[in-house]
Amino acid sequence: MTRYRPARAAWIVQAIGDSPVVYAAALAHGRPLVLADSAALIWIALTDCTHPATASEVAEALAAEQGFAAVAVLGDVSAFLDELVDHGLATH
Amino acid sequence: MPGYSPDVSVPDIPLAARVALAHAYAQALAEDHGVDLLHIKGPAATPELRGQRGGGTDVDVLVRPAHVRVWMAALAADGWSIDTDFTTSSVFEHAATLRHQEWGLMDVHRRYPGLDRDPEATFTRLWSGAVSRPIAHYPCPVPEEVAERLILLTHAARSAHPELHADVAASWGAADAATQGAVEALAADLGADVPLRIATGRAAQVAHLPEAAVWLAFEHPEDRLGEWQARWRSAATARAKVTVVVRGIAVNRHYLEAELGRPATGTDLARAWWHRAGALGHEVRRRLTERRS
Repeated sequence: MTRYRPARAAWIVQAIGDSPVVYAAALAHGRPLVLADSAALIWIALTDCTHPATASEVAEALAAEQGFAAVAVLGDVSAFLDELVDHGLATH
Repeated sequence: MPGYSPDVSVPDIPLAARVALAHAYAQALAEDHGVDLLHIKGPAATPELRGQRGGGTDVDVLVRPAHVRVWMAALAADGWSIDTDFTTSSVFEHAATLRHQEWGLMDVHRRYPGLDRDPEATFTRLWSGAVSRPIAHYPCPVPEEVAERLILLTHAARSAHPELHADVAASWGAADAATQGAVEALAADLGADVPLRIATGRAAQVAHLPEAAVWLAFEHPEDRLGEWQARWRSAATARAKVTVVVRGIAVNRHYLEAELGRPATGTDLARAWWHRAGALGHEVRRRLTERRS
């Protein structure tokens, strides 16, 4: 089971209207990126985890927060966590 | 969850957020190259000392003097270009301004005006008392609060009306007697007594000192000749005085190239030098005319 944790990164959480937005950069050679809406929620859930988390655990944390079934978003969450790894923002 | 399509994009990032991220970036880059630097101003500042400026518009870092060469090379290798180099930045030649397409502007201070009697010893003193402050969730070393107040006050001393500067109200006016005493003690240790007294409305106590001239010249920011005369009086050695004269009419190649939109040729530099020397001559003639009248 793959576990994810934030990589060496900087980030800021802001709200635009009702939606969260995260400005983040992998350090030291990543460039600033914007994670909007659900991307921001996944990032926040990942950084809130006190230990390296599986995609299921992140999806469950989101589900508990947002009020939907974890299984409904597990595929998207898993794919996005891999995308974060590609951008250098998360690591296995 | 309808419309659940997480995405990463690179649209414009608000300035304050970008500056905060850039501080974290600078810290990580410094760690990777073994460079000691302190984050100052903007998001690095203690919130109650920030005044109304909030997150700042650029990244300000004070670099250990012995590490400046390595730091500038690291920045150049990561895509930074020089807007203004050290020798043309200000009368104190203390900072270089660099620009990056994505990170924006960074002021690299190799020393800090007023705290520059012995820049290496000053940095070591500030570094030894530094505290860690998370900027964009990344730990960055910043000067402890008394040193931070002194840095802000010596910066305010470079303004035309220090007594009206917001930083003086926050860093001095609002401070209790014990804090003011601690700031004065640190200023005495680092040779910053003159700018501190000028910033805090006590210029008359130090106006007779040679090193006060360059600070008091900031009362008349439009007076370029007065600034260079003050710098001449403050230059300690003959060698330093010659340097002052050369720099007084030197052309900032980076500004000139920005103005031209292309690399400056020797002819461009000569023409700009002639124009600047002529402007200084015009100021001299104006002064002489005023004295005669």
